[in-house]
Amino acid sequence: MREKVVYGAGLGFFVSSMVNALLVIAKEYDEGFKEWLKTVFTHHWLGHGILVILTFIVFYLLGYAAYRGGLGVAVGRTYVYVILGSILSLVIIWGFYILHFLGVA
Amino acid sequence: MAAPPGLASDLHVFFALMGMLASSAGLGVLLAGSDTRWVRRFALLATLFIWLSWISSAPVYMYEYGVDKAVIKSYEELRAAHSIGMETKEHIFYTGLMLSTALGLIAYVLDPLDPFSRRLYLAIFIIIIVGGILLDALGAWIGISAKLGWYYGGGGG
Repeated sequence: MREKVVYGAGLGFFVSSMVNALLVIAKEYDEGFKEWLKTVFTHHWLGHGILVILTFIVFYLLGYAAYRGGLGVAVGRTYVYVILGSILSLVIIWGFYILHFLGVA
Repeated sequence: MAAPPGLASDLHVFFALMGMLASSAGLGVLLAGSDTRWVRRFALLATLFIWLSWISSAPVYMYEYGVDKAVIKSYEELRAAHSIGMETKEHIFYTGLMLSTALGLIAYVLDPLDPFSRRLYLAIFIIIIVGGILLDALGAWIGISAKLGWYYGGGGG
């Protein structure tokens, strides 16, 4: 059971951090999507967060249900997911806003 | 209803700092290798405080910050503080929130003294601490820009 929780947490984090970054770009390029978030959740930022949290929950459960390996492998994969998810989401979000501010993106 | 005052800074900063402090304490106990129960307790505390930070930041960002945002964006030389600083801060925070959630789940089941799990705890604690410092620095940039904006508006420019 422990390995399923660890793997699910890692997978949930990685996918939700990538969805977080993609939602940033989607909101900037698709005004309709941003308006939909405002309409449904009262504020686009709140809606953004709720979608990220739901993504985490869904992929945590998927990872939990699908994982068949041992604890050591689960911890190793989660370690990679944590490092990659953190760095990629930082680079994508920060990079996008810098380029957007400069008028490049 | 009258517009709320600007220069919004509230409880969310306190909770975020407490989350970083809990992570620092967890990192310290982990490195000392003495008492695994406290590593897990500090990890769960970090999760709790970071979630409280999100909950308490919602009214600040959704309602109060709008006044400061308008002031910041009205000056070309300050605009980057919102367009880069705040936009990055408000969204990167969700990555930290999900990392703290993963930490809470992991701390619930994983013994930090296992050789292979120690590295995972180390990575998460360090990312939360460094990420928190980064967000705090962005918050300082936004706060100073808001103050400058109000100062300019008051005839200081």
